[in-house]
Amino acid sequence: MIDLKANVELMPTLRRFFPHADVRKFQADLVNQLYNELVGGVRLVLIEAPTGLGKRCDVTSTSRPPRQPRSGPR
Amino acid sequence: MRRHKHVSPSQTAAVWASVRAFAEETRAKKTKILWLTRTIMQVQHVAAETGAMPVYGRRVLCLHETVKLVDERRFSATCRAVRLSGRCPYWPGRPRALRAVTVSELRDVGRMTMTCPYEHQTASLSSHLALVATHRQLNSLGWLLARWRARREEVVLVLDEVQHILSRVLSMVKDAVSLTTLSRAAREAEKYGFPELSSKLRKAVEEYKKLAEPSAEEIEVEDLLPGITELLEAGQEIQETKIKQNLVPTSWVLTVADFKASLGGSRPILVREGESLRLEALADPAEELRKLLEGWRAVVMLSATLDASLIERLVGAEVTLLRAGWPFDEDALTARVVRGLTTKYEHRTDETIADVRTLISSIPEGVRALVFLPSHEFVQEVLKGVSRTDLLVEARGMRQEDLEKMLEGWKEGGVVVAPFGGRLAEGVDLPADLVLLVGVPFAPPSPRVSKLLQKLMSVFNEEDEAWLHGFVLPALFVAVQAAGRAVRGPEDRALVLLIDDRYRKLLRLLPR
Repeated sequence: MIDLKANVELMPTLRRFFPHADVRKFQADLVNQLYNELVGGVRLVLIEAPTGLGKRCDVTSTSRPPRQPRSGPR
Repeated sequence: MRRHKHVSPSQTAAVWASVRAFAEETRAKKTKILWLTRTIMQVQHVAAETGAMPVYGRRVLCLHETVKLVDERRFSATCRAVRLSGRCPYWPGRPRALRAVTVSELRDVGRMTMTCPYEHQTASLSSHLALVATHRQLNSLGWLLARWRARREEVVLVLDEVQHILSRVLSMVKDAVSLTTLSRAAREAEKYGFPELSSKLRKAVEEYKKLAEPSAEEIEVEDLLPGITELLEAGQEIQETKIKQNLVPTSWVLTVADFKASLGGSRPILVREGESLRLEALADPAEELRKLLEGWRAVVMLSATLDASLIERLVGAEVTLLRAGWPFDEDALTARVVRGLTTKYEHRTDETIADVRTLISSIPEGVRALVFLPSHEFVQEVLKGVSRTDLLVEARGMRQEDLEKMLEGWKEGGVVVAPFGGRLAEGVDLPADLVLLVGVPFAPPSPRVSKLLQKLMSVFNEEDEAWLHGFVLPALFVAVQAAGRAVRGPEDRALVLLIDDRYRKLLRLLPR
């Protein structure tokens, strides 16, 4: 797994294929890394861009106490 | 409000730059790019952003007054029969290569030239380095590649929103036919002189109705359908008769024949969804995924929620995972688990429903809130006791345009209530202040889930792993996709409440 970096320079040879003037967070590293993987002969690539859920997750409670778990199939 | 835009244009631009540069680098090997995404709207966005040629299905572009109204399943056979009998005024026409991006542009050209827009489109294919289409093209890849004059080993396949494809593969549905269609086939067989076939179909419908248990959504049943040869021969004869009678040459009997062929000797699953009943033929998920991913120069898959190790194990090949971080501010999305409630089926009581009603009723006015509930039935039950005037509800079978109309007034605040896995739970932008995920959207116990877990047991050789990849993660991904509707840009801020005791145990599995 490769964790992409937020702020890196886009490889100059790839710049002309990027369809926008500005490069946003993670974009440049994604372009560079994916290109390198493809040129390196990798066949299956999965790009995961998270929705961010769970980033700052803690536990709170409703006023009612939790129900007792029962045995049985899930 | 921004809705139905392409989910992550930044991702599109970056992936495009890489694969386009790779195509240039390997020009001697005639590398091409096939980009598949989920909706027609997304096809237009990707085409506009990258310059790739959009490819739409024949049905979307159809200009024939009656054929265009035929349902999707029977469209191709009907269109073919009408074309070959010389009864389509737009075919063959005079197709020529042209530069048209949207569906309406292509249809306009088709009308002006009295030529099927689809034929215009295919005349343009071979000169393009990159095509963009919907996932539906996966059903006719061989044909598309032939017309494009490309071979799999020359093409980089980009699969956007690939979680849809994986969830379809894991649902294992190879084909489906409703009992309504079986009844129509019975009536059609009777009308066109096949009384014996009609009687067999009617009996099958009656038996299946008796077997459908009100308490279970799915059961495995015997195949009670007539033989494939009998269905095919009758269906083809019916189709020919209809052409002679100048009728649209669709045949319900042929639809049943297709389904029978999909069964391939296996037992169907009888599925109840609301009031409707249907039969499904199941496929092997590993085989389906391998068929899809094998043979390309490379496959690039894009998703916010995907299980890379499941793909690796099913396909039996290594997957390189590139993971991007959260692109917005740290506090753009905050999530909290709320304890004291569960929608677990055997724990559901009137008290559970009352608790959820209280939650919805207590959302302050003016707040833009999204509430996701376990099912349409659950939505209906809960809303019986909620008297808010600012509720917007996704009902079963609601069309995209009706949803868009419904959401027009939502900008000023209000509570959108929708089921997990529905149209509003994925692929749309719904910037909201608050998201309530009520319950964990686990699949209910069924023969299908058992078969999937059995299959994954043989892949992972461990019960816990099979359970995690076939049952737990798919449910969490549905929940994460629903929550992800709320924060779509750098200005958006949302609080997500995960309302079910079971989320506590699942926290470690959620994306960071």
